[in-house]
Amino acid sequence: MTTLRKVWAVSSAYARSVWAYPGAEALRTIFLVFLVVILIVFLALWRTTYSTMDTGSLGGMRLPQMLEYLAGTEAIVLSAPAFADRIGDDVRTGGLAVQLTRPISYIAFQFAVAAGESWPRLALNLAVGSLVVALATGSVPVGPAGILAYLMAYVPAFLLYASLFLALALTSFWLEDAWAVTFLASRSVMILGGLLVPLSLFPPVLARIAQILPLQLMVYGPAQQLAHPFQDFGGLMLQEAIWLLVLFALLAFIYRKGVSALHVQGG
Amino acid sequence: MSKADRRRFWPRLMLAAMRAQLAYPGAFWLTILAMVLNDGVWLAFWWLYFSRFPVIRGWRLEDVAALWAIGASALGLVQGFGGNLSRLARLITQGELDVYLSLPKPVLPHLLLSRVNVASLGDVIFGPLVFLLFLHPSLVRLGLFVLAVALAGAIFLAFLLLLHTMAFFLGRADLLADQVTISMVTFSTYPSPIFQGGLRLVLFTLLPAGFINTMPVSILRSPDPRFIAATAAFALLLSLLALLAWRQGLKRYASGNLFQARL
Repeated sequence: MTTLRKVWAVSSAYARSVWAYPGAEALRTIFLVFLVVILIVFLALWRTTYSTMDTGSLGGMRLPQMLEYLAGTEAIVLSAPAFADRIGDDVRTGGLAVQLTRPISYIAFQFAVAAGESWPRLALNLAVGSLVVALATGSVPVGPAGILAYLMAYVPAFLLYASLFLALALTSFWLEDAWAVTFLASRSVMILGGLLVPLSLFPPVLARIAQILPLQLMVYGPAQQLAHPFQDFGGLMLQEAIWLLVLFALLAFIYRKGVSALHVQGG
Repeated sequence: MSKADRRRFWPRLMLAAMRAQLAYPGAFWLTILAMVLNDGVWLAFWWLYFSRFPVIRGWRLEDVAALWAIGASALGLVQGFGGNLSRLARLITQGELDVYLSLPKPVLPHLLLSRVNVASLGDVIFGPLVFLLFLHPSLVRLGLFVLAVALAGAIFLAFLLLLHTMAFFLGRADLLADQVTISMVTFSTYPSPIFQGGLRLVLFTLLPAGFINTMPVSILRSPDPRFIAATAAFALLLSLLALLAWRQGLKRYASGNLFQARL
């Protein structure tokens, strides 16, 4: 069985498990309520902003496009995998010893689980978010091309996000609890990733800094495809590919160091 | 127990709850720091926003900073030192009030003050820090800030208590409580003038975030005695309603027969 088929098997098992327990999934609806509430608040905020500025377009987006962009960013972040909790538990409980003996690499397993859990949730979040935007603005700001471009850009964006946060979560091998490190990174994504304000509205200096970092590729990159399907798409994919190589290398390095540290401790 | 001992009970209870959390000082301070940074990120968002759009319906960055200073301080005090408030619906549903009902102390304050929520203490630090650093503190403004925090705290406390006591009547209300809480907090942290029409009406009745997100302008910037009086009256009314719901609910309470020990 090739690694890819194993990854697929684990992913689809975890994707099914997301819906296997309706009660548990109902508990997660708190995120959907938050998504609806935050979009209502954003609608109020940006509607006021467009009317105060007396303009039809801000940062190259009309109001419905801006809201669809924000639905797209929130969908990504609210469906993001929580590596720190899972890996921290593995380290603290000693469950890692069992995980390492599985016939699939620990890293590939974590990616598979994350994809299996995140992708169905992303679809649900985006559907709910788009519905709210359509109902609130009375228009459908995104067509099939926008959704296709968003999903195509999301796959490498997800791998980037997963690589970075998995690498940070692996610091649990030394710290036991990587919550603080990943929390700081998630808050950096909120600002520099363009979760709340698109990079096109950043002050110029900050926009340049954000453009250099990979965080905007994880959120802003895919979400702006909803507003401008396939615009600068090649450049976006190229940037994502380059950063993927860098973050994969970083992840592999941290994992190798971490596992050998575990051996040293007799784990 | 003497009168003096009875008076000292509540601060001692809070001190004991704080000491329980300080058993892990590293985690304690890290959690507080993380919450301060989390709140800071929201202020950074507003800085980004106002750097592009300096005035929105009369609101400037300073007003939103005041909103966060008031909101974080009030919610932090309520949820931080009343650490069981956010778990109350679950405690009721699972029949875990027995331990408080069996002791000769008023149930509600005893229950609320028995636990400290460390993350909320980050809010308690963040709010006053923003006031001191960015909001031109003076004696008068400090008085107005304290008044705003007290009123916002009373509204948060009464509203969340009312919400959680629904567990007495509805059964499992913890999910509902979590969702309404997050909605209340979200609406409380955005400027009031952006909400218009029916939504504005909701924010001054069913989900009373409107009182809180109006405070930076109507208490701190240019104090409006009518708004202050109306807010105080609403807070009082909501508190009475919450206490009534608590007392009625307690009569319907059924123990979970859970064996518990208080350490």
